[in-house]
Amino acid sequence: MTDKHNNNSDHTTERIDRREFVNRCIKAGVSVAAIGGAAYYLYDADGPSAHPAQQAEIKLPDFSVPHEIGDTMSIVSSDNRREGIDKAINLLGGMERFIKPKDRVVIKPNVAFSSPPALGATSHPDAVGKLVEMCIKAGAASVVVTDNPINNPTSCFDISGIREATENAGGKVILPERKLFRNTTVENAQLIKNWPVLYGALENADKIIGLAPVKHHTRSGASMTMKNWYGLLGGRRNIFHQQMNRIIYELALLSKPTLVVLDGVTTMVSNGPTGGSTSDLKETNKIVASCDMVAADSYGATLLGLNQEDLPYIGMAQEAGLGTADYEKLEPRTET
Amino acid sequence: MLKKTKKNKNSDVSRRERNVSYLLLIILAVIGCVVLLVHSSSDFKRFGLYGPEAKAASEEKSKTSAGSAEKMLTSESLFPEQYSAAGNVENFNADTLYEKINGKAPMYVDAGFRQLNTVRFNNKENSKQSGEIYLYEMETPRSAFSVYSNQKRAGSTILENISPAYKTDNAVYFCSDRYYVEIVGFSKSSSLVTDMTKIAETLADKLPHTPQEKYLRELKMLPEEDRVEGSLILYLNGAYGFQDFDNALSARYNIDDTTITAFISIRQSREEAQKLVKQYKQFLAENGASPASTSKKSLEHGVMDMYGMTQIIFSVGRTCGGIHQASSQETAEKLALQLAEQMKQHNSEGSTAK
Repeated sequence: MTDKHNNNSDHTTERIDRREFVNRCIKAGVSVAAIGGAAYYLYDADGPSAHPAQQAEIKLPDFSVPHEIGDTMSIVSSDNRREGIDKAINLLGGMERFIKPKDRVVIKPNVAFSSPPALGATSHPDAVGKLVEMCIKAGAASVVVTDNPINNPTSCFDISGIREATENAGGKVILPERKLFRNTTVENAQLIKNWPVLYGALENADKIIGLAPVKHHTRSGASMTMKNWYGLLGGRRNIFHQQMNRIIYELALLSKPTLVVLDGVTTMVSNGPTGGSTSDLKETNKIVASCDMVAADSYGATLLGLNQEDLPYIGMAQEAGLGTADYEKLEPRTET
Repeated sequence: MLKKTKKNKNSDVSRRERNVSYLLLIILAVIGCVVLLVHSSSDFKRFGLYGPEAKAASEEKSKTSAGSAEKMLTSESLFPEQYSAAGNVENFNADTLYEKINGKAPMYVDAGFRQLNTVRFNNKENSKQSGEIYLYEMETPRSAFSVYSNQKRAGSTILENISPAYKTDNAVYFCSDRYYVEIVGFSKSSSLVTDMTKIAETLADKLPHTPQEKYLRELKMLPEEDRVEGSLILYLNGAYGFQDFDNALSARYNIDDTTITAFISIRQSREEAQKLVKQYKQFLAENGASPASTSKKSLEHGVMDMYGMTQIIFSVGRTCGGIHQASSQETAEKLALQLAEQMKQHNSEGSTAK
């Protein structure tokens, strides 16, 4: 047994001398380094993005205004959008609280589809027109209405009636031309990394107001104020449809609006986000104005017969400190 | 000398060392093959993307059948006298569908989408009477019926001359063979809906037609008595929120003044059916359901109570059947027994859901 062991031991020590050992180590080291180097060279740490950044990345400014419990959110019952928006914003102190003289304002409605107002797939032109009017009355130097629609932008703004409503109220529509997009990366984001956003329409703005309808959404459950910022994204944003909750949460990280208005006069309760039949719509007759998108969406969920647990992005946004899911804690102002 | 050294080196390699080396090389080769295989068959659709070949093939196929769809949708004979197509036919493939319907696109793609052709139309005498036709071409009649039935609007009216079809206050919907069609009016108008119904009838005549019983072979197992007309829904996947529950056909029944939903699903084998029953019961239990007692022996172990609503699932041969969220256990069991009886009658025929 001992002899055998010794024989084996001798056998292995005889097989390789120092030179051979060093040679082999060098060869192995070079092979590992070559494979590692090639893998490192080919590895794309950022994953897919729409197209490479051609300019330095930008960051969207924080457009929010200070707000406290009791003056953050208002909920109004109305079947008339113009009256409802007027009341809801006045309950929060009037548009003058949000828009100062000479402010350059951007309003971001949902103009995703070339669909007429009667189908409820887009923001209603009455609501857009009223907000433009109120901003101008508050002294805004300019009011721009913009969105990056899913369908052809010109057709969307025309058929939805939003271009006409904007221009009649004294505002200006900016269509999403390619040159207006700049790449951005949202801090702690997994999806909005080096991704183009419609920055050109916002870069000179002092205030930004989001205006969203309440809609059922096949993938995310609902489309409301947070999802509305999807319209700022460019590129092949449809790849985000696989991670809808995550992208809506990141859109809330991306955008810090001055105010959001949730139009629940008509709610698309089924077959969203496009709908198609008027039977997909329900008269819910509510308008919400809020400095807190999370609270606005949490209330909007109730119009869809959902609660915040049905919409995981609401919890994700609250956890990140972006707002309050329990909107009642904000003591929303209502009509007396 | 050098030769000698090399020879020595070879002869110095032990059998064990050689075997280990071969094993490592084989493992590396297998890993390489797996990587190659996974990359060549990766599902780009999950990301809304397509490989170059798939994209080219899809575009080519789209173009070919888009030509005939374009002719069909712009044909003067399609529209009543005072109407005409407004603008060109737009064509969308799986890669571009989101540009038209955004968040709904994955629903169609998951169900087996081929292409969408759309065209607007208007009334030459009354510009308010306008609308748009969406002609979806799906992979199979089951795909088309699935998207049709899952989007069916509540409170709609069934159309008589096309099957299946319905209308709402501003739209007409139908499916025919592998085509699903939406004709959407841009305003609520009964006269517009009447005209759109005529368009639908003409279009349905131009499309191929397959009787429903041919592509819904499980339909014969759903009792006909008390079944609500037009209430069938085909879930190609994720029925009732359970991801593994695919190919389930459901129908609503009005029994004893209550509305109850029954469902049926043909599986590959008896074992698969039993496995689904077990998994679905587990899914229900995880969501708050608990076993409920029953006096019906054949439904034993299949009845569950979920927050006061009755859920039933059982299998007969390779078919699963059940009742979804019934407010009355008694009525649910009554329908479940009828369903089980139908399943027994037809199970031996060997129907297969395709």
